[in-house]
Amino acid sequence: MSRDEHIAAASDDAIWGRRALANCPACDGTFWLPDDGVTAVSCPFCGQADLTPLGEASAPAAGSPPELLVPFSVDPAQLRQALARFAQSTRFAPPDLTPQNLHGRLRQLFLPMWLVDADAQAQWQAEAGFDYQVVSHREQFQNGQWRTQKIEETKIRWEPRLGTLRRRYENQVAPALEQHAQLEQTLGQFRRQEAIAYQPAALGEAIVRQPNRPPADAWPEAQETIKTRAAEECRQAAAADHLRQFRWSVQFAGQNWTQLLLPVYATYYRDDEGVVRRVFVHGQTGSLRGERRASMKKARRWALIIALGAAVLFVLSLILAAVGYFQPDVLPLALIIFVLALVVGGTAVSPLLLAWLVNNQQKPLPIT
Amino acid sequence: MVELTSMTAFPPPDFVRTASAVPGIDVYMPRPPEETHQEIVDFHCPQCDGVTAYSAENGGLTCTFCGYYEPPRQEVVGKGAEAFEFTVETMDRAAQGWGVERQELVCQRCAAHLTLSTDSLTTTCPFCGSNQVIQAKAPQDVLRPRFLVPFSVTADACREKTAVWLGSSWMLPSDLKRLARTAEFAPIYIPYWTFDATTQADWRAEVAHTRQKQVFRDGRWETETVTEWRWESGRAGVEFDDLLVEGSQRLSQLLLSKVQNYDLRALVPYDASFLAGMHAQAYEVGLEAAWENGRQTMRARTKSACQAQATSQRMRNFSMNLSFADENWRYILLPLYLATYQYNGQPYQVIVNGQTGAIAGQRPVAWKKVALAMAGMLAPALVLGLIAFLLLYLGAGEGYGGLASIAAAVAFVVGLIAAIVTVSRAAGMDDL
Repeated sequence: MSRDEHIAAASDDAIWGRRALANCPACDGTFWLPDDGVTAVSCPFCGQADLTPLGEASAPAAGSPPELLVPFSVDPAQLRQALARFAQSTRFAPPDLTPQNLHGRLRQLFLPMWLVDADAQAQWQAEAGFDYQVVSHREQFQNGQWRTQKIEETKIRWEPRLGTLRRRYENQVAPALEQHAQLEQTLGQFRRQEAIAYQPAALGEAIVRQPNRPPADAWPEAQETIKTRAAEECRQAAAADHLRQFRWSVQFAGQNWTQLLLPVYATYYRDDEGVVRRVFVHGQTGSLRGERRASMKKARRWALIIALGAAVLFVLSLILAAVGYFQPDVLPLALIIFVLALVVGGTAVSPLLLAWLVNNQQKPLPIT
Repeated sequence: MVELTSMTAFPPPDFVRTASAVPGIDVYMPRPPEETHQEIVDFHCPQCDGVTAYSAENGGLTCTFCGYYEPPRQEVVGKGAEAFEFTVETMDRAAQGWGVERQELVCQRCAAHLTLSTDSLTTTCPFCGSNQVIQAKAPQDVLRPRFLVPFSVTADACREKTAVWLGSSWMLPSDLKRLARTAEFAPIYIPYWTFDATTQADWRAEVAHTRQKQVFRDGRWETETVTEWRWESGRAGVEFDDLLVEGSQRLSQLLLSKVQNYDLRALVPYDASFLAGMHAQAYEVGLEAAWENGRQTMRARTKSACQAQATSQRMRNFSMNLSFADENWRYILLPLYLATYQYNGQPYQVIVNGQTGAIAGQRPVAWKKVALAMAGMLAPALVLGLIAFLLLYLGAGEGYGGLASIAAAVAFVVGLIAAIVTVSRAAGMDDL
């Protein structure tokens, strides 16, 4: 191990605690795993392959460490309930889709977001809106008399404003994962204001996803975030009630990139074909999103049972019909059982249809 | 606003720094108009130091001594003149009324102390004859006159018009024309409020519909008219543009309404030079009171528009809900000539629109002439009556007597009608 590699390893330990780096060969996601769990951990993100340990030489340089972390705050009972509800509400659930399996495979996963600090120096211009009140009237004519009602309405007066800005913006967020937008769309927004200062110990047994977007890619989005913040500050500076058409000519300096970690629970089950189906739970709200797959095997079994029942009824109706040849009294009963056999036989297709519908209506999770 | 990228200097010269509530951010706002306020503007000729005054003839300042001419400084803005909203702040300020501090002032030329009525905007120093215009304290004050229609009719033209007007009827004294030529026409700017608004009203009423019905009564068929009341409803709106409401109480509203055909397309921004040598009055009817008057007119017209939508004009239980939108106002000055002439020891008032020349006023009627005319109108009936009486009394030609009686009756009716028309026309000579 070279001196630089030693320093990098030491720095990684300081940042991440005792963790090992692993990679998913399917989705190419890189994760920091608790040191004892490198083997036989399927990718918590795509679930398509087991994570492969990465050599120390492949570890990223110890830049952009986490600065803030949003802790898990879902009540365990609520979490267990959400998983049970998901498993039990899936029709013809595959045998692997049980509350116990989902809960047993549950892993805490931290997803990264970029945090950037930057000094901004800009000239800006905008239209500042100031609220003012106008007096208007509504009048009513009834029984030959006018009744006047004075009302006050709020209007906005727009005035041009421009100026200079020299401010430092800290911890402005930008997506660190290509899938961040889909993730938030699927699971919901995170309450980032609940973030606490990062400590390696706070990670516990969680897996930490590494960014798959470099800061350079995320910078345009970070600039937009900073611009929105700057516009709001310019509104406050101008003592305006509203601001629109904010434009600026800006130069940034002193950029410093760190990470914010967002909490997500990840678990999975396997369908009939053994394909891993992922289930994610928002680490703050407990909101659950997972791929629902029905077991066609189970549906077929039910269909067969119903069809057999129909066949038995059919045979019984035939026997009664034969008896009816000699004893006409039983013929109506034979007819009834025959009709019943037809009805039951017709419903035999319904389990298959329902399972097919479940599988076809379900869209795959947009997180890949 | 100039784009940041195309700014050669930052901040642009027409922007000034203003307070910022956030450290590290400087804020610039458009430079407010310069407060070059002069409370009293004195007009004198730069050539001969004589008195200058606004001339309706050539539309600028002229020196009455050397003929110096200074063209008007303001361009016509017409109906595009800035209008103001009824902000709470303005309404509160308007409620306080016109300033009362300008009662004493010192002439800018001869230092004489003058007393001025609180509603006058101009004065001429009785000692040195200089024309002075007194301006509102703050140029930014929306409650000062912002626009006016300049005089375009001269005092001489007014005299001519008045002479024609006074000589336009045989019912007026024949020496009135001569008086008109000697009358002094005082040019005065009268305060007016203009109001814009859009009204929208939902109305409902029971409307009468009549139909004919055959009824068998007392053994015979009769036609009877039956009225059916049906509920109708609708929505109507009226757009009001520059509704004029007088801001002065000194002049007869009736007379003013007869000469109110002002063309507001000639509005110019207020400039003291337009008032030089003229009288000008500040408003006495405040904004709120004037707006109440304006709304009264607007709601009456909107009510008419609603009622016009009904299928019949006979209705009952009429009700409507009216709302105003886009309400704006302006405070403007409009030109008027005032003249008072004496006839038989009685004062008579004439007013002439200083822009259009429309005229209204009081005219003494020569009632002796009118009485003679009436006598002339009734005289044929009297003569014919006498003839008929004589013919019938003397028994000569009874047929002619009858004819003469009929002719006398007809002549009396015709004469009476003509006399009534004449009297009513004579009474209408006076616009009041």
